[in-house]
Amino acid sequence: MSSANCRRPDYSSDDDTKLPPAKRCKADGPLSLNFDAISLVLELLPPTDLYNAALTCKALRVKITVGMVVKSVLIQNGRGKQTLDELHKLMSRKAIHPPSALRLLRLVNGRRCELCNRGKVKFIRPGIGIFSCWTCLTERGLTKAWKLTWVRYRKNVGAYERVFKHPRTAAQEYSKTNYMMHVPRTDKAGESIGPVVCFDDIDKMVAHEDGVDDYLDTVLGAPSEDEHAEFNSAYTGTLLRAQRVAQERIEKYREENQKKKDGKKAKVEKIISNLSDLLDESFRDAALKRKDLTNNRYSSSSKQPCLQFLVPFVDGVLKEYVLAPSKMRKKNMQEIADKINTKLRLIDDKNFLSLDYLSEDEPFEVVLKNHFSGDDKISDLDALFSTKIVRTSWRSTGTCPIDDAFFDLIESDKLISALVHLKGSDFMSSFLLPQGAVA
Amino acid sequence: MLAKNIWVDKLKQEDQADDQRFGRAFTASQTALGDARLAIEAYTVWLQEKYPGENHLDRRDRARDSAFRDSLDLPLLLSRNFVELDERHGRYHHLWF
Repeated sequence: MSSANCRRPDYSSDDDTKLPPAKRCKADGPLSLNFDAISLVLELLPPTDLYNAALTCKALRVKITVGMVVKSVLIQNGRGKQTLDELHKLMSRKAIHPPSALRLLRLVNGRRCELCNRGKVKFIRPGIGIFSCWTCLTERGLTKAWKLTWVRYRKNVGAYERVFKHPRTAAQEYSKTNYMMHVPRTDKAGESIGPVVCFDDIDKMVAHEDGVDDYLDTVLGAPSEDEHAEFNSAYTGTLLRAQRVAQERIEKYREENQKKKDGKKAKVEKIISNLSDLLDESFRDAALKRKDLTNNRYSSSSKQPCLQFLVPFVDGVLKEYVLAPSKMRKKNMQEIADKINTKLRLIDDKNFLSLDYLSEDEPFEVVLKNHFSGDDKISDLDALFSTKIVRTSWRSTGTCPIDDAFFDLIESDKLISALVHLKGSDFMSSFLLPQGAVA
Repeated sequence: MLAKNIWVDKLKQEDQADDQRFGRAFTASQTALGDARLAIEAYTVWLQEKYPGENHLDRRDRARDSAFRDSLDLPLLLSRNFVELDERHGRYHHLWF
């Protein structure tokens, strides 16, 4: 940008030569930009950055407008939005003193009570428009209770109700009590804050002969409609745009999330394909059976897997790599394949599915053999892997028992125990009953 | 429920974790189940003698059914300790009626 286009900040006039040298703008600083450009840049800043910009120098501070703050907060859609929503409810009724741009910035960025600077606050108090903590609001005299049980109210309900129901009166009714601002207040910069009408004004407004509006204008000197107009027009003008931006933001997030999930799933499928080549053909398909979890509402989290293997043993071995496919190395894959091969070969090596190891003389082994060769036939691996433990509670949907414990039993030649493990020990009590009876 | 309670009870009594423990527990359970059934019949008769006039809410059947459900009652039932079994349920009669 040429120096001819460079306009210096104007506090009161175009010329800053009256300012002390330290406060004059540096030609090569950010203010060497055209001020229109700076305003455009400021409008795009989020509220926190706008606040920091306001603290940078007076030249930038005077450039910040109420509309700029409102737009910034609404588009950002952060915590400050609730403050603006509550402010708008009061400002549309002209019930509070309109906040300046800097006060508005403080309100939307605030963390502590503006009165005591101790209590943590998230947004302004609804109905009063002050950024105060609960203790200040209730115990330190910020508000005072105007009781609707008082005699003067009951004797003149109509007149009092006209005052309380007036749009510019900020009174919060709760259980036959109107809570109101006690006395008029200003902030540390001397700016009037909070409701226009305070506790002491109520009786005076009722007694005022020329009506409530006249009292507001003549006695209280309430701010005019123009003073509220900037905030209100900026709020209503930006709200639709902010909603559109928020919707676009959500859609963009969903798209990115879906893209990320699809990418991750493709990587996992590639791992499974490579692993499949390393497994024995006899149980390759049965071991790698899986169900898709991408439709699961919790699957967006990186802590939730995109798919689940139906055999818990395989799922346990591969879960870490389903969550983080990038961790998989060739060496890991070979180790996993060896582990799966070793364990699943045990089923054939020990002739587990043949049931020949069950004696014809032992009554329990006879019923076990009848059960696993009849009702729950485990003739092949597919049938074995689809076995479910009979649910013992209404919450359980039945789980596949092919886990580490199952293979440990087979490995230690406890084949009957492994068979019992398949249905769950409690299920065996049903063998004590006659056929068809409930355990 | 009675069969399950007996099975769990007998399986718990097995010290060794070998493959044959299920067979032993099964045989013991079959015997215990037969005994328990006989004991329940005896218990029913015993209750009928003790509470001859109570026909309105069938307290006897409730006490007997509870003995089926609660595995803690099993040793009392098998040892035919009907007095203690009845006393144990007597504490909760006010909840039933």
